Amino acid sequence: MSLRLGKNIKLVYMGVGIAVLTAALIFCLNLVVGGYWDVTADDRFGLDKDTVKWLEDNKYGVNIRFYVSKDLAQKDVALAGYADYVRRLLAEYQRRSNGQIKVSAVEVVPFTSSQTEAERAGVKEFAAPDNKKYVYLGLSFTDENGRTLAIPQLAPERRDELESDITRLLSVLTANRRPRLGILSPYFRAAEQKNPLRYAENLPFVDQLETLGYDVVSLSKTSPFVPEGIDAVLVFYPLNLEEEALYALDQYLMWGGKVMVMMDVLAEERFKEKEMFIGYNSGLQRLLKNAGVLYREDVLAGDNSNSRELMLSGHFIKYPFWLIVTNDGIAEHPVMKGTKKLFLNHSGFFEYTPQQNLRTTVLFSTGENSGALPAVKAINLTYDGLLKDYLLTDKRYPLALLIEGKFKSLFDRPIVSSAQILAEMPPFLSLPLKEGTLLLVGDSDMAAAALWDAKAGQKHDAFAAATLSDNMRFIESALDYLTQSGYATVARKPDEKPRLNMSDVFYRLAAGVYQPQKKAIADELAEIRQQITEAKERLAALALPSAKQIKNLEELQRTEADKENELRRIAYLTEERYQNYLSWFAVAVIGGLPLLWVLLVWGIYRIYERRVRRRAEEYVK
Amino acid sequence: MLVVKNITKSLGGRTILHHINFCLRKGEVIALLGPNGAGKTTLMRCLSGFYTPDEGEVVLNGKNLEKQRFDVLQRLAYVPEAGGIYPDMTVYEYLSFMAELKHLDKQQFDENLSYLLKALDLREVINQRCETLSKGYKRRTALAGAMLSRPEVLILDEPTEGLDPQQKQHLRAFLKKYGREDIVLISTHIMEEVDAMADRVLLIKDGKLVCDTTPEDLKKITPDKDIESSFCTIVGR
Amino acid sequence: MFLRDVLTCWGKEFRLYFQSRIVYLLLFVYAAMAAVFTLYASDFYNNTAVNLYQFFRFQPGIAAMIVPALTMRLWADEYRHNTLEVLLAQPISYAAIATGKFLAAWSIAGIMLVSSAGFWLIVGVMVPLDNGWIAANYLFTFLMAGSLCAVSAAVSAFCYNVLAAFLSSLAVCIVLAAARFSSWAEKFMPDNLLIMQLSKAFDFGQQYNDLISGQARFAAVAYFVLVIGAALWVNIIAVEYKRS
Repeated sequence: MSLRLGKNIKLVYMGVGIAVLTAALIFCLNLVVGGYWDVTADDRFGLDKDTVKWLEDNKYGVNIRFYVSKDLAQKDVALAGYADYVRRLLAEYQRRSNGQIKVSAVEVVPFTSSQTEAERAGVKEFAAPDNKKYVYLGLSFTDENGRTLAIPQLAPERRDELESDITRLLSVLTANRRPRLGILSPYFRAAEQKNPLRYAENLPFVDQLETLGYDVVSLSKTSPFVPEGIDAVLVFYPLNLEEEALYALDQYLMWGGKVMVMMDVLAEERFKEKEMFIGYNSGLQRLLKNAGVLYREDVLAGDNSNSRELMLSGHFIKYPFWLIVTNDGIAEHPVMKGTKKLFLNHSGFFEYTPQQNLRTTVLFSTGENSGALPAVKAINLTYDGLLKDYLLTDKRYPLALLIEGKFKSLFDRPIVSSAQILAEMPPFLSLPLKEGTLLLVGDSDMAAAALWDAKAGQKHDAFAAATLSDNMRFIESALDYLTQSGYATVARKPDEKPRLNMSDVFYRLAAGVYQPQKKAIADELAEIRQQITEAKERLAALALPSAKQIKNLEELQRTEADKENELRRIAYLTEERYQNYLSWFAVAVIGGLPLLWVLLVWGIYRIYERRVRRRAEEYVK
Repeated sequence: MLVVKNITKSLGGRTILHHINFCLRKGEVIALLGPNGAGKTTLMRCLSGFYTPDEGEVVLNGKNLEKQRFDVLQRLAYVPEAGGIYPDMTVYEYLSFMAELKHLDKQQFDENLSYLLKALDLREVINQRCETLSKGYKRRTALAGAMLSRPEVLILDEPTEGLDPQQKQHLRAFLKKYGREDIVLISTHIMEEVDAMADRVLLIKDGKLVCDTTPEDLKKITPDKDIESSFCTIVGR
Repeated sequence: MFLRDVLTCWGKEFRLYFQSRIVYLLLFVYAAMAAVFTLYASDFYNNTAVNLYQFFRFQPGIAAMIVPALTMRLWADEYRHNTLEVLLAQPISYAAIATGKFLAAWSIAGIMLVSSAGFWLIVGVMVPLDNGWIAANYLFTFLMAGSLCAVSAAVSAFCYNVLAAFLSSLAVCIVLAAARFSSWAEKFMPDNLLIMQLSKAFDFGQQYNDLISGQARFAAVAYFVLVIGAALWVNIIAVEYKRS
């Protein structure tokens, strides 16, 4: 008896020993081993080399507090997944920072001190995209002096910009100065208001600039000088600028100022507001001409190879005037560092002749297969009409220029006579004192809301808006260059592959089947509607329309209704086909593929078995 | 030479084997006799390395079964009472698996397999699944598996159990032949088998070795000169 | 020699799997179950993850149900057919036998996992995927399945019949894969740092999620490797126990 027990006890000891040893090993490894493999194609858990360099150079301590709603996973699984990603990225910041960055997480529970703390730090509650439950997911950054900056809401849509945002805020928080930026634009209210930029209804980029480390002030277009202490001036959508503004910019450049001008032949924002296009006049032509640049204010640049799709007459077409500027058209220049893709809707272009004392660099341009179109034609929204006047050339059109050097003045004497104002402004220069910089961009819509996709939280919160391209990055980088801000900028994670879902693919497949039919009906419908409009106009012109004319109109309207019904039928058929595709896919994946696999394995085994049998039979022989 | 020194084994709190000692030499067929529950199977399992004795040791040609386990087991084969073959395998698969376990090379396997298929008459069933075989074939397949490596010691637990008379005769002749050069230890209840095959008899009673003699000497114990009577006399029935 | 013995045992067990029809049934059931969970238990069509997360997230649960069926007869059949006596009387180590058996079950789990490659291929043709990430996730899932195979084999080594082996290893696997120790600890003892750390370290699901998140932590890989090692060790002990 004792012998048996003794043996079993030995085994039990061994088992317990293994369990304890393994447990200890697992526990220690989890505590000690912090390394990992980043197996993602875009290295999403690693930090950009610019971030790493900044972290290594940084001498200031920063506390990062990560505010997350308790039970976030129960409220929104996708957000919880994103929170986990943010947590991992922050851990990486802490790991690479030589102890300067400290990250701590705060679980936010409503009506407790954690909520108060989050709100005080600048983190805001927002509705989760999936179920609209209110959650907290934000970051605050506090430096050694207690100064705090925050990302109020971490929207998953901005995942690609997350590292860029965090690094930027860290560098803004630890920077010695904040550059001052003057904005001259008809979109803003007068400068005398305390915070005039809040009018920027559809310019989230201005919020973004403030958050990204700029003090932004509005400049008046009637002021003949740029106030002291402005590091750079951004002229956004210049419209009918007065002589005073021209004089201010001219003199600012003579004094060595930095100016960025975002022109626009056809502003989407105005176009959206249904204002009739009557010809654009920036008022800046003389200034540009003085620098050897011509910007035709009535001509749009087009690019047949790189352009976005537009919905016209019920189907998508490649629309040459919604430009996509990719690596091919982007110059190697510090301003363009990290910029990979830009969207410009209805952009003008520049022609330039080199000037003495000025260095002109093309920052980006259209592709090789480009052309030009009179802007007035672009508002005629029929595709054939658009293309009729579209001239294809084989040259690239510069869309942004950087001009640096000693500018000549447009003026030979001050235009201001008031002694009081003269006393306030810097003295008149007819010859340049320092080298100035003028950065010209052919389109201002690239910063407009149309190219921003505001999702979570408030629409105007810069950190909730997801960019579709590198537009904001370009503006940020250009202003950093002009103001010499010294801020760290990190390229956003490249999103080379478009985000596509299986349902999109199936729907496109289903819609593709009916596309020719749909296009034909849509064309017929457009024609019928045209005829109806004409018929109505004719009837309206007549004092007493004939019965035949009325009958004709009625006939046309009946046909219109029929065609509309056909379109509805096609929509129904498309939906039905889409559902069928989903079912077929499910059947294939759940039943077909497994069955095929089983048959394959069975087949392979049968072949093997036959070989073994044959080998066995050889021994019998 | 297989030496069993002072083996003691307990199972389930009961001592099954008490200080067993004997020595088996080459060229012997040894019959292990004993009433049910005497400890025959336990002893065989101890010899085959399946059980580790609580006390004592098994030594084959100077090598200890516990300490040089692989060396000893390479030269020893054991076929349990129930056969111990895999029902889902074909005869060929089973035999090649056993050959792999014994680390036979291709040539040895080819030679031995051809010989055993013929000697044990397994050619007809080589591609048949073991579960579909008759009892006789199953026994022979298990035996072939054990003999593939030409072991120096062959331990068989009731090898002719369930066979028809012809098969029994054939198998006995085969084992007798094998026993001329090597050690064959069989456990059995069938006294005629002892008579026909065994050169030596080991008789166990209540886990103790009570008799180690030749069949002829065993017969002399009773006036009938019959092994069965002698057996009954010794075990006390 | 050890590796050769392992290979011998692996080969025997692996072939035996295909002798029974159950393995084909299991292959089908696994592939179908994985597909059903992927398509219907999460928003796959409208939110196709580049790493096929919807497919991988259910793998521990599915594996916990399938693996016991794979390992249930590894040892139980040896007892049933009385072959263990013969097997253990051969000149090979128990470690080789246990490892060979475990590797055979793991190989079948691998074949099951590969069955979903067709799904990956089809989805990959239709939408852009991060194939490197997915390939890594397949490896990690294979590793996770291996740890369940090892645990399940170890549990079944203590059982004498197939049903007992299946039920007991099913219970252990489900507890291991489905019980989120860290969330329990978070719920009941959020302030006890040691408990929190311990629960996190031993949370099977958490470790697996760590692996497939794209940021594969070395510690999580080590966790599964250690579980495999420990379970194999227990398996050998179980055989010793049975023998004695």
